[in-house]
Amino acid sequence: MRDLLRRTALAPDGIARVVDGADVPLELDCARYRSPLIDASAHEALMRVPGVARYLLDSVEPALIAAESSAGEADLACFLHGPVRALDLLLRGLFTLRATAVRVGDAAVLICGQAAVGKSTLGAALALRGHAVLGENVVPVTADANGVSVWPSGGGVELWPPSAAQLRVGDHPSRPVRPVLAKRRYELGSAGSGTDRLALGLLVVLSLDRRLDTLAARQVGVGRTAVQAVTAWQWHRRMIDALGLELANFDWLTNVAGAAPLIRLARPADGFTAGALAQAVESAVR
Amino acid sequence: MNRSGGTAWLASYPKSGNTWFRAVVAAWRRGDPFDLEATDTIPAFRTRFDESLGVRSTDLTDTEAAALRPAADDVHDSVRPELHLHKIHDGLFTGPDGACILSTAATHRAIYVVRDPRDVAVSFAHHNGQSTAWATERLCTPSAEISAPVDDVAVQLVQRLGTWSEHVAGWVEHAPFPTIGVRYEDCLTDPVRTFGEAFAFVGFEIPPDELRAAIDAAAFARLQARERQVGFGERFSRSAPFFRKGKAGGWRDELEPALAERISSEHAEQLRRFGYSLR
Repeated sequence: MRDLLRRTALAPDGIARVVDGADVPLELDCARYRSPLIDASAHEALMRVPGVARYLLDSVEPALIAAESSAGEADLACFLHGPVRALDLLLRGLFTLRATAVRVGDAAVLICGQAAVGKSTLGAALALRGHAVLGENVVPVTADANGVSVWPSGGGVELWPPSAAQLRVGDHPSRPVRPVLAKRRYELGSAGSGTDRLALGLLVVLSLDRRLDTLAARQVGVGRTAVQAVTAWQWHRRMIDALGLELANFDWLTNVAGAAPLIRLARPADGFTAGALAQAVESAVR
Repeated sequence: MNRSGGTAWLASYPKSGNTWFRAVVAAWRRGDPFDLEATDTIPAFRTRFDESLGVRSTDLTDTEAAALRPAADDVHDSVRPELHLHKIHDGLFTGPDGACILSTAATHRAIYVVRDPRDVAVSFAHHNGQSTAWATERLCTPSAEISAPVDDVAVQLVQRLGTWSEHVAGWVEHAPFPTIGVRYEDCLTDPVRTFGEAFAFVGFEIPPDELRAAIDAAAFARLQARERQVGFGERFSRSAPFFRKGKAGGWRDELEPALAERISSEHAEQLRRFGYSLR
């Protein structure tokens, strides 16, 4: 997995390359899946992020990047480590979740949920309580003879200023995710470079529920509900049929959904702390 | 005969009856009891945007995301074979690239629900746990928007509202697709005719007996009772219910005269257009 992740990282950690714009097409002629930002066939994919870059992926070369003149390295890396990485892994039949992954005890906890619901803030709160962050945004999850495994995909947590202030992490090393955004990546909860894959121990679906006065945790039964919950947070799930990955995906989904308990953790709009959310996750693991 | 596909927008300024319309549609489609929370998400919902386009909107600036919203509409529309009614509160302005903020290709038609802005001010104030003066100011502010605080992020993308008059004019006068304007007050006094005409305009031909049953199932008192029993996810303030009164003309008792006068004065043209008295 580490070698695969290098394909979508820039030097010195990776081998993705910025190339001349002419080396990356505007669209893929042979695409079986087309959407406004992505063209893909079974062996090749192109992602277009307006104002940032076009990213070309194939089964041999590492990611090739045609950068827009206004895009800096952080802009390129932001999408390279995110949806482009998920796309590159999907071309190899590997599935990823939009999640924050944290090691709690001996197992991995995956925190999924709506955009901007607070997954990273919860991950950071867990990191501040001594747990290692395995990755966030794009989390590779495999299901094979060894069971369902979560793979480390890079440490650190992205936080917007109010969350960073609430967690009091201003003194921790951080860097902008993109210069045009206020959120920063904080070096929190390092898993260490030697960390290998971990068995999936708990799936958490975090949600915002304005009806609530306090946190509410509820375990969801396995089966269809759990499969639906996992499906909802898959990266690029619209492309799976077009790439001929239906059967592999079905197998993966049922394995992941059946591998660990699933907790729905709902938070109110205010009147709670990220630390209390983290405690709820720790309790669920126990 | 119901139209086969495309997006029909159900547009309104907030607190103008949009949810009531959705409740009637949900009751018609799913029967009674229906789950109003299961209706479609608004286009500004970040998760819908992210899932449609395959990028995280939180990795984009507000301007970058706004420019891509029509593309997200196109993807969302392409995977829905049936005609679908979509709630929206955005004012119908142009986006950063000068084009409409919505996909006109994905759009079939729109219903615009208009409500007396003096009643909107009272309802909006209760909904947000704010004063009627605050709500009146919002109705009269060109830069008014639904957004997160500066340097933070919310589950919804920024939605520009503009003034109440700009909102109405954008949808009713300048929309690049056919739009029908419907008064909330007419839904109260003559619901079968008013809802029926609006739904027929966008392609939902609902037999009168089915429409009557749906309107009964979505009666305001029943929506209130359901909110008391199980809550409602769109409720913003824990202190005020989402379904509060559902009546017309309450502003005469609840809105300070000076605020009512300001709204009447600043929005006189659109008030007259929809037959509201200025006093």
